[in-house]
Amino acid sequence: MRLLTTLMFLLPFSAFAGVSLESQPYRVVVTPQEDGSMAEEWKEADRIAPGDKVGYRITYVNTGEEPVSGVTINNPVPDNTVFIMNSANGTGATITYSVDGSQFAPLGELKVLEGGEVRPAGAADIKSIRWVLNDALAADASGNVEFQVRVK
Amino acid sequence: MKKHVKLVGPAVLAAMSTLAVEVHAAGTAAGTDVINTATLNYQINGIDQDAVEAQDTFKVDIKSDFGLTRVLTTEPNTTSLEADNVVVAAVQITNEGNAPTSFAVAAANETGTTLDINGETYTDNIDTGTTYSYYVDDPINGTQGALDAADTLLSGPTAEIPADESVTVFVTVPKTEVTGSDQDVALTSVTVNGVDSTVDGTTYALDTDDGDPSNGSVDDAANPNGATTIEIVYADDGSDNTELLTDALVLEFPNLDGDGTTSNLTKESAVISDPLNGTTNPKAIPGAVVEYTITLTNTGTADATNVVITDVIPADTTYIADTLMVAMDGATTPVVVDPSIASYDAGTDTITANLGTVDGDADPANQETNVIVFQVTIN
Repeated sequence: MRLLTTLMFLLPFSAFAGVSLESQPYRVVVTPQEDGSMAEEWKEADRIAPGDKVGYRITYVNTGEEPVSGVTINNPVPDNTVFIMNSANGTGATITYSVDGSQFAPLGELKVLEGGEVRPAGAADIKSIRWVLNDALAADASGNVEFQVRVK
Repeated sequence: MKKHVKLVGPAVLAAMSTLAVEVHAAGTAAGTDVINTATLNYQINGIDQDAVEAQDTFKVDIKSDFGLTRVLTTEPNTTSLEADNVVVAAVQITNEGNAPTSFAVAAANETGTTLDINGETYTDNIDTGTTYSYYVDDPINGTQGALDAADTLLSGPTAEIPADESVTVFVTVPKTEVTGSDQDVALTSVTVNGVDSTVDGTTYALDTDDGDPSNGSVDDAANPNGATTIEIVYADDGSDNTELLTDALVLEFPNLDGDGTTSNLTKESAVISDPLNGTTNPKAIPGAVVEYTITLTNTGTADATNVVITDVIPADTTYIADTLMVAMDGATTPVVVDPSIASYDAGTDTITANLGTVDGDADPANQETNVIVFQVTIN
């Protein structure tokens, strides 16, 4: 009976609780506007060549009936791409970065050792991005986070 | 601050490992799948749930990009018509894209245009013939950057050139199609188009026919547009899959004619003596001895070869035996030479001088002058 209770306690959540996650790439195009300014447009990722900017939008939805907490999204910078500085954002999320894929810190605190010298981490050093949602995610609530890379 | 020090350790490893990654100037190879993986962890009522993963993939498309440079960076091509094929243009094609690509090369005469090379302006003033041949340089079996027997005659586009690599194409015409004078300039434009790129065994045509840089071959039904299909992005100058380069050919010919004002072949006469006055103020009267001096200078930049001068003894004069002398091959004072070189033929009453090679040079100091003298008696 104790065992059954434990199972009931652990299993049911998967039946009526869950979070869905989707990642979508976009081709980021900078287009001049009528007023002379430049604006970024996120277009279909049908045509992407080396040097192009790619924007990723990661969308999460609480598909369950319970609020979820501690929502953390980890996204390693894809192979053959370089992270674009200051391109990560996410409403209500705290963003940290990693240069080794395991330890995360705000960008300004990351340092790398190269040629015997410690220097601030640059875009090419960023290996992974982490978003931690500040608040719990209510049932049916959704949101997204974004970052951009440049194809090597 | 201690925390930051901790971060340094693992970061070193990360930085070191990137050194091993080879990145081409052309960028990530076409057809490469770029995969993004996002992982979401969450809790319900403080209990960790199974991580959720999302993944997406797009293929890196073909970036068609190439550049042309002249092979001779500081000088024009030149010809003295020594070889059967005259190089009118030598162009290096560099595949700056991210896929192996073949290229079509086509030449045409420029007319009246100019080309600056190393601070010097070359103005087109002649056209060559247009029986063009295109040779791909073989830098391994032949001399790099020079047309030689090892090079391959193209019968169509080049072979596919790998990303980041170059080939040199020589555009030639038969030497019979190059006529003109010393220092004449023939400018030739070379137009290069990408033809095909092959990615993962599939060949994609790079089109130039409609001039629309946005469509590539993706409009083909066989190449649907999408994130996981290969499209073509034209990244060359003008995004039109066309690059053009002009090269110069300068004729380095001998010049035995002169510049139009001053002739390079002159003949002068002087009375040496007459029967009445001897050598003092001699007059051109019957019995007088007259010396003829023929002077030939090559003011061109190339040697003149097989040069033969013939001169018929003037009417009413008689050649004086053994007076024929020649100064050649650098000599300045005429001397008697072997009859095989210079001789008088009584049958035709003609003197003939086989001067052989008369040196030309860009430096006037090295331009050769030959002198032929002979004497006659006025009848």
